[in-house]
Amino acid sequence: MSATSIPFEIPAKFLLDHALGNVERYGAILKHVDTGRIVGHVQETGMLSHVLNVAQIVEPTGVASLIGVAQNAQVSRKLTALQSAVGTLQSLQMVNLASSVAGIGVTAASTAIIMKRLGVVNESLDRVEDMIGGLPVKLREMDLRKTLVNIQTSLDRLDGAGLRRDGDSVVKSAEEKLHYGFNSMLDGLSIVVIEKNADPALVNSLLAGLSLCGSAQIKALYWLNELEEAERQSRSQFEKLEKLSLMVPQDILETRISGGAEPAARIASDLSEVRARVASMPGLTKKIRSLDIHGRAYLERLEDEQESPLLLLPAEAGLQEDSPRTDRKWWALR
Amino acid sequence: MSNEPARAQVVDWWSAERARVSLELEERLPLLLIEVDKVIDEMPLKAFIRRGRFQTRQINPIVGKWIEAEYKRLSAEIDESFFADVIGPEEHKSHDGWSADELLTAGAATAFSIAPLAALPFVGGLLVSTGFLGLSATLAIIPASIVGAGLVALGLGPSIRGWARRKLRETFRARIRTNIRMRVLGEPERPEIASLKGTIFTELDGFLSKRLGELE
Repeated sequence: MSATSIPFEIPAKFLLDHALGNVERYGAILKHVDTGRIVGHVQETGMLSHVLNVAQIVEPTGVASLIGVAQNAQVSRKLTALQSAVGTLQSLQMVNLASSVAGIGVTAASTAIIMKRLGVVNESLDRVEDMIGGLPVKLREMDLRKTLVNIQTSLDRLDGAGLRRDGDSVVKSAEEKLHYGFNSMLDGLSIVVIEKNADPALVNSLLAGLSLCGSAQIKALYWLNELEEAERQSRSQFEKLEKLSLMVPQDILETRISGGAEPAARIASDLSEVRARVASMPGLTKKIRSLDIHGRAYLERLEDEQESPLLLLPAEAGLQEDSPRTDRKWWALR
Repeated sequence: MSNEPARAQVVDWWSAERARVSLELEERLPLLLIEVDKVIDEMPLKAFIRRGRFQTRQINPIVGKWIEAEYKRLSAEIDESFFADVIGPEEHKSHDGWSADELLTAGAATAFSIAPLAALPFVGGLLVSTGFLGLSATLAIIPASIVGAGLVALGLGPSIRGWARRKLRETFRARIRTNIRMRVLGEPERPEIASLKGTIFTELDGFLSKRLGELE
């Protein structure tokens, strides 16, 4: 299927339902509240990514203020389009989400934006190190910042990959490093969250780094049209995140994160969004495979979209998609 | 269809419920402590002689009743949120012809509530303080028979006697509060002691594990 024939829809027709509470978003999935049936997969586009880039919203933990954004004329015009598409409140939520650790669907962020965000994570780790007088020993041994620099260098080569004869090998190399980066960040997080008085900024940075590496890795696999592997890797990312989440439910985070309930709640919320986003990816990728869409064509379509910040890949497109709940057993009564 | 979103949602639910239970018990515990404080304020001095019995007869029933009520309240809320947030509408389909709502109405689907309250090992009795109340050595060795009137006989004036009473009461209160707190919120360093929060967490962890097993 070519990029132009991907059966995307502008999600406007679902907005009323969303406003009425008939449909809800979970990660990148939009579903009916009453039936649980999936309406479609919400997907951010290059237009949204452009808004964020112009606005210099590169704070990977999603805490960037939107005040300055609205004052920027170029961004303002884009935001108006965003508002007309998804409504004011939703647009701000979407911008926050897209600029946060989570994102929506396959990342539409360009290599430059991903690099910029990774740079912020790197600087943030630097600041935290200064602030708390050095990272925990195990983290220092992992040398996460060196890992990030390696990833950035590798990503730097990605920009012109499409024009190079060895484009595939460049992207493959980047994908491998991103995979390694995801696992390193996850290991770092696992070490930090079991310590008492863990620094929330450090946890945020690691979570942001993990999310960026994970989403960029999946994007690289899409570029290579390795969709089956993308589905497998996104499932593996989810399983790792699930394991981490089971280690640190919010009440445990509250006892471990310095500052107590408030920063712990924010981290739990970020972790939940990342988990939801990653959880959406295997299903989305499976859908794309079932529609016989080429991975690179999918990315091109997202990057080329200039009008709508979000697109919806309807569940009805192509083969009928089953409800996520129909194959589940009834909750066994005790 | 991929089951990852459903798995993510059940983890969300579990984490949020644990946080809610933890927060609500912290917030509501002072209400119980105030109630117990009143009993301790009115505790006659002679009751300090057999304070273990006083605790068993006067304080434990109040605490047990409160714990039982909280357990029922929280378990009902957890049941409700489980069906609303985790099971979802499609699974509100019939099970032998019953809808989930009907089951809930009939009380048959309340997985939590049907857990026997006897399973709460602490409902029958709190930790009973075993004698030493943390009094100063001097006061601790005063024979019980002379507490109160005996202090006068020993030549100690009314002000000392009043101070001793207050000290005795406040030490007892502190000990009881520590015990209650431990029985309600638990003590991470002493996981062997059962608590209301720990019991509910065990139930929640069981729900999570069972659900994740179903979604594999």
